[in-house]
Amino acid sequence: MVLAGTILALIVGGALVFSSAALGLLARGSTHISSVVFNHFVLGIGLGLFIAAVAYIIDMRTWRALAPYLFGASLVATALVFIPGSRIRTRRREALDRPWLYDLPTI
Amino acid sequence: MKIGAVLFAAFYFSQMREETGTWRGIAAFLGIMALPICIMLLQPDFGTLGIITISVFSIFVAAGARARDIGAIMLASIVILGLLSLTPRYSYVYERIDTFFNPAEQNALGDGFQIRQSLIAIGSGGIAGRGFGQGVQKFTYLPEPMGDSIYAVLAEEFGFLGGTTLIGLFLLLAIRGYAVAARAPDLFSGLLAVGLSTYLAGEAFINIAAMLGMAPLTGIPLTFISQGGSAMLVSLAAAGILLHISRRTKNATA
Repeated sequence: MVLAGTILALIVGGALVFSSAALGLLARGSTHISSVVFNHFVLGIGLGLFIAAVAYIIDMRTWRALAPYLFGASLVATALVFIPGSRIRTRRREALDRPWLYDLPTI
Repeated sequence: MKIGAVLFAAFYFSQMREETGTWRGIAAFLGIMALPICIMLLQPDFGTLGIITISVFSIFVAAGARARDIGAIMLASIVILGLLSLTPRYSYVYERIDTFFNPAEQNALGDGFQIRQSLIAIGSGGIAGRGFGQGVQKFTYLPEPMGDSIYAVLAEEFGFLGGTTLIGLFLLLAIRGYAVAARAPDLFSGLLAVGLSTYLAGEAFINIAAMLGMAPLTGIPLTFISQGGSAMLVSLAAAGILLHISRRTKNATA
């Protein structure tokens, strides 16, 4: 219970601080603010809580059996970054994720 | 990759049991880390590599590694990182470490900019902070206010009290996580709980330490708080697994 409460406090408190920090991005005139906030709250926290619930239900025996395959799959997925062509998409993604690096002058 | 490596390390070391204390233990550690090291050096992403190494290393230590193996890995990591930072490809590592040791000597508008701005934000928060939403630095000079620098925004708005409360929460997370590990029903669950707790709290502490000028800037996000949907997904998945182990512990003792 303490552990669950701590994690919940971090997520709720974190969402508050994130909202406040997002004002900074808004004030800097970014046009991607809604996609950044959507990405964080819906995909990050929303989908994240769903995945956490699924991970909570899955039995340890399943994790144990899947461990080598998950490690292998994660290595392959990370190595995919090096395939030429995927870089274009990565850069676009990067521009969406960190728009201040792209449309704003560095002070 | 973080959860994948932690899962696999817990799986492998729980299979090894007593053999972890022999040469096979250190060989297994190096074997597990070999591919992640290669991929992360190619990217390059030393921050992620660091947190994976620390998480897998914590599992290795908890599984019963020899003291001399632990010392050898720590020494070798520092030496290898030092040598790598001297090569042209990884010269930015040298610059980050140089900025960390000599923040005042660096150009305040160049390498030392981010640490300078985050310290201004944290310092101007005072004891109780400017108040929620009242921070100034996020509107002006602080780089990445929603990303890596979000701790500086929090410390400016909620002050010393808010900053230490957050550190306290992560500390509580680590302590409870390790307590779950100690009472886990089997070795695999226990080692997994150690690795996941180290990952969640370690990532946060490295980020906060960088913001306070106590560690070099690494580009590691603040767990559960920094912007980034995918990082949040991974952290919450890790939290879900940790809570599952915690539930099993309670059932086992009841």
